[in-house]
Amino acid sequence: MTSKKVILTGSFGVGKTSLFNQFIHQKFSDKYLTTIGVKVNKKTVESHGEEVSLLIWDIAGEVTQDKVPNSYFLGASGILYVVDLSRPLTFVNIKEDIEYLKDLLPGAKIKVVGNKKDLLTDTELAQAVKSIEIPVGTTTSAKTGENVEDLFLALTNEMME
Amino acid sequence: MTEFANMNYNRKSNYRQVILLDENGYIHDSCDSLFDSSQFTDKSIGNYFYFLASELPTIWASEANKISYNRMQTTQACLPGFYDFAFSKAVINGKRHILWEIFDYTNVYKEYIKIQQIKNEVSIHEQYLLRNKNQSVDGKPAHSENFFQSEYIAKQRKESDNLVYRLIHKEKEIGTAPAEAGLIKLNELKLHLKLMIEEIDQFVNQVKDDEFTDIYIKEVVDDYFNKEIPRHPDRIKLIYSDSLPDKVTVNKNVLTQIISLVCKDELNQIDYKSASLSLGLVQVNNDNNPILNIDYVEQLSSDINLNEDSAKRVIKLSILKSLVSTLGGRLISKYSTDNHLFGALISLPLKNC
Repeated sequence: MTSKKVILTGSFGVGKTSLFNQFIHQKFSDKYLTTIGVKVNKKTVESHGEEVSLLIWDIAGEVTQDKVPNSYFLGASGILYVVDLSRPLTFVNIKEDIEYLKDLLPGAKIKVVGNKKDLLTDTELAQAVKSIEIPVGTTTSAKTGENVEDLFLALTNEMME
Repeated sequence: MTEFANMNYNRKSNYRQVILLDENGYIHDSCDSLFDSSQFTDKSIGNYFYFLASELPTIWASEANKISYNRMQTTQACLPGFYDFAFSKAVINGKRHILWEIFDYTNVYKEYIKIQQIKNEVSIHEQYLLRNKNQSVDGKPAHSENFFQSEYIAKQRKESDNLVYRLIHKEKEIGTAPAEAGLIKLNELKLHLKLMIEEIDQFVNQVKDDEFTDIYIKEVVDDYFNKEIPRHPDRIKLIYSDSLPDKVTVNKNVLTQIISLVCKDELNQIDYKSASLSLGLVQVNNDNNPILNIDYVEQLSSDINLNEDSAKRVIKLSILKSLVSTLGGRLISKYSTDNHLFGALISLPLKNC
């Protein structure tokens, strides 16, 4: 079976662990509990008729990506860069962060994820997405589960191309 | 004696395990200090540890001879906590191996996560304050009611005598203060927490070095104090017990770090009365492992508000307690608001002296 390492990264409090828990365990908690370091789990999905084992790394949030230890990124095939759509300061460094990640992992597929869409009205959501310097690949709600499964499946398909 | 033991990694430790993996990821040898590795020998280790499934090929492919992963949180039954991992490539009898070092810092990182939690929540609230600065109504930020709502903080609230809570509660009141003042205070608290986190990281790395050397302990401690308080040499009275030999086998960095963590803040206090640091050695009969006792007592002036001022020190002592516990030692904190007393008694097991 093919294995792919996927990294969830971004600023603190944007909902990386919530996306991780929603995708792996279909669970959500309103309580914010910070992550230190890394949590790793795996889930098998299907892509183009083939089983793929996703090894998902949930990394502690940092304001900028250059503060994340490089070893965490080694061998990653996919990166989900998560921002909190309700907190603009979580995407203020997005351009530099994405450039940094592209340099670090030239072959990796990178997706920008706008999380916590459930906190915004449709108008606010449109404004938030528009204000982000890098195109947002998917908007999600880890709370309701909206687009979470699709996000990981879309990334898997891209990694398997 | 196995090849592994010949590599001087056979010493038992209460916080470190070393495992030797062959080229295919099978366990070749282990000191089994933290868990029994025999249950994982029938398949490549990557079948049991998700983390290794993705990392072993990467480690082999890497040009670096050593790769470290800090603060790994695992839920594996045999490793249920927080660990630092280091992987080194080695060639033994012409065959390639990987040396996997596991450092169990569960107790330490449980304290760390509390500080990180507060720091992150402070930062998030600061972001809301910044955002609302120009949008506030009557100078009141809109999000103050959401400040510090996490499970951890809620738990602290129930512990009315908890000093950590008092510190947080004090800062929580800032939420109702004008945004400008609140931002300054929050930034101060955030910086303080950041420094604390850096101190933990520094200590954890020093412990990992595991360099035990024979030192003239009195000289080392005297030197430390001369460097730290050259202008105030009498601020802390140093007492060396008769039981303390001239030479002690100890991790010098760890020793000075412990003394620094317990005394340094107090050294910078202007208003305190007096303090003493006593060092002595106790021989334990059953395993002939000597224990170094470090006793710090500080008598503060009665005009210092201990409730507010000491909260940060108590947080630091709780971190130190977990660090000392990781090293197989014990810390008993001394704190009395009535007597204006503050300090700690630390018992640290040493190698033979």
